[in-house]
Amino acid sequence: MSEPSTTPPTRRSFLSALTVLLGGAITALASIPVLGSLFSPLRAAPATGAADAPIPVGTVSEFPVGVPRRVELIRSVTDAWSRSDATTVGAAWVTRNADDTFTAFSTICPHLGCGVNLDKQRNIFACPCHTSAFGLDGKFQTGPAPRGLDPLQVEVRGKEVLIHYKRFKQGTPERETV
Amino acid sequence: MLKRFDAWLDSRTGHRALLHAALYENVPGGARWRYVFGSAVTVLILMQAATGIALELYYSPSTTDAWASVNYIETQVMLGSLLRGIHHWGASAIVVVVALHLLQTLWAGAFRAPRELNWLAGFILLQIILGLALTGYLLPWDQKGYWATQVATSIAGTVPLIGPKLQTFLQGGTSYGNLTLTRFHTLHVLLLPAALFSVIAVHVALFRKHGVTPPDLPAAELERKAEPFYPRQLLYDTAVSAVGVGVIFYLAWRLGAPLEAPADPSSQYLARPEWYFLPLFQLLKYFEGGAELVGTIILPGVAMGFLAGLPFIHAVFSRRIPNLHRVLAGALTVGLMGVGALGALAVSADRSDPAVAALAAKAHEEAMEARRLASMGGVPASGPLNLYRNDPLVWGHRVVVSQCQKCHNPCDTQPYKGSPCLEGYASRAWISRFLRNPRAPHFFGNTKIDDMEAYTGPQESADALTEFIYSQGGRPDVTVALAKKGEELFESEGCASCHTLDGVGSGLGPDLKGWGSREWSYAFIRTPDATRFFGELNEMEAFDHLRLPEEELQAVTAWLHAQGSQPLKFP
Ligand code: FES
Repeated sequence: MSEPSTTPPTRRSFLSALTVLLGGAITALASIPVLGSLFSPLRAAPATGAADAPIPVGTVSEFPVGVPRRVELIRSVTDAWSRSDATTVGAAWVTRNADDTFTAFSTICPHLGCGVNLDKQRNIFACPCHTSAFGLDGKFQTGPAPRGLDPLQVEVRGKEVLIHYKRFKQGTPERETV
Repeated sequence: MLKRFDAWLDSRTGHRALLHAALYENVPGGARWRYVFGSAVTVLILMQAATGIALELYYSPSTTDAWASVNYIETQVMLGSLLRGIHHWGASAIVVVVALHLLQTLWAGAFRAPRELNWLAGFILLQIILGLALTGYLLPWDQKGYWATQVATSIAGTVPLIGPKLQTFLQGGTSYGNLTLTRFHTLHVLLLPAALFSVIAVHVALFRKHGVTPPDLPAAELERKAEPFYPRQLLYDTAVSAVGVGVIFYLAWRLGAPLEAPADPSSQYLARPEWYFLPLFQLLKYFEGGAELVGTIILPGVAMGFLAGLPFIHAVFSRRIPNLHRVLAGALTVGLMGVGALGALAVSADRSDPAVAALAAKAHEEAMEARRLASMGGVPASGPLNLYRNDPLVWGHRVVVSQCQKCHNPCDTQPYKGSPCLEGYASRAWISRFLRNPRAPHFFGNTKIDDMEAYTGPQESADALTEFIYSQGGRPDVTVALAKKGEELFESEGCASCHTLDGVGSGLGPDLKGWGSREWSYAFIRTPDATRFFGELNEMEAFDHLRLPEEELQAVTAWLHAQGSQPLKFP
């Protein structure tokens, strides 16, 4: 390519540097809103009081003693832009103990998040995904899960049984809420 | 005329030279079948693009709409199920042909200098294609996509240090929801395809620059057999692509694409990824207690690193080891076979596990049920899960399973030891069988009630009686004349000596006015020991509103009433 002889070399490199600079400015400017929105979900979610309220799952007499029963946890949920008044947010295995206290575990497997089943024959909780197994007390038995099932706090108000639902980080030995 | 137009166009675009360069590229050693895979993948990718665009016209990426819109494509859009089937099977076919393409270039030693960068471009294409496959099956927001993808994003969450942030970033939040769908959707239809086509352009340009990697023949031989790409090689390429497309159409037409029940975060679903991710899935089972990272990230990472680094490994060691490219090709092929074996292990583990079969059968049933409900006037705007909640039959069935079947076992239990079983209850078949043998195990055989005598009259009369009793349930399909006849027989054959028809009852046998109707069942379940029903003979527990809340009982009676038109489930 022939260079236009009218432009002296120093001026030429100045012009190209300027072009690169302006091009960079365009890219940077355009990136700001794009990246900002991209990382938006990483901001801490605004705390919504309603979401932390315990979820009613039935009355005491509905739970047989000693046998885990699966309950769906239904409450109002706002998912990004849409609110639904009765949405299943998860499920729990709830056991009524002999002294009428309750034990509850999240059905989410602490390995990688599949739903854990009750295996009535072997009296364990079994994960259908990668064969993790847990005792009825939630303790880890075998498989790749790094810890036992995640307990959920149960509250009994009069006859009503309520569950404080939480989600936990998967794949780690220690239990962290997310 | 055409010629003149062509000349005019050529002077403006130069397309003839372009076409010539494309068609008359020299193929040293001549056309070969094993060169076809690259073209075949390209054709399949174009087909994915076309079908994908068509699907995009109907698809709606939100948690409330996604499943419904996919179900709409399956059931309402003309040829929609075929369209989706092609897109589904096309994805699998691409993975297969890419693997063949990889093996072919591997054994030809095409990763060696000067084609290192093209090997890398191919490697990147492989990752993009796997990414498209992974992001694609979340989009229907059905059980399979939801659960299998959860496992994938949870794996991202186990990455040291950045894991949790990475997972939140990918999911668009701390749990799955609308933003997960919009992100995966953007990746699947915008970002990844754009990347795919850009890298394909580079891949093809580099391929054109270096040409095919010719077989190990003397140069003169190659020279002698050389021929242009067009017509033979082009024909080979097109023929194989046509076979591939044919197979995909056949599978799409015969099998379609699966659509499981809508994603339900509270369910236990058997999360299994698509077949090409099964080896990774299987790998997860082996590493326990803190070593998960080995299975989730380290091993797959090492394998992928080896694949990408192949040309450079070759460059470093080739002087010391003769024929190194064959050794490397052999090693990779064995590795690939190992990957296949892992997948086979996953399949065989599932095959031999009855719990898996049961879960799969249940999932299939739920899928059919959801689609049946959706076909009755569409999916509620509040989301497909409300299909179930608004449907008293589905809900009633759930309650029956959890509350009633403790005693009234499912009819197909063997041997049957429960109280009267309820599937097909109050249907004509149920009544006529009952009249003939009330002490059969599926009726009162396992209870203390043995006062009822079997009816031994002629079949005609039995039919008339059956119709009469059936008519009490408030059924729309009663044959009135026959029921009338049955009513007369009711008196003359002696039924009336124990059973009343006044809605009050005598305490000897249940009053049969309205028997099988919702009202009758409702009152019965609340107070089975009333004189109207079994009185002193009663063995069933009463279900007051604490044990069975009002709405649940309504659902149960709706379910029971619907049994009148269901078949019996025992021999
Ligand atoms: S998710 Fe439960 S074992 Fe992997």
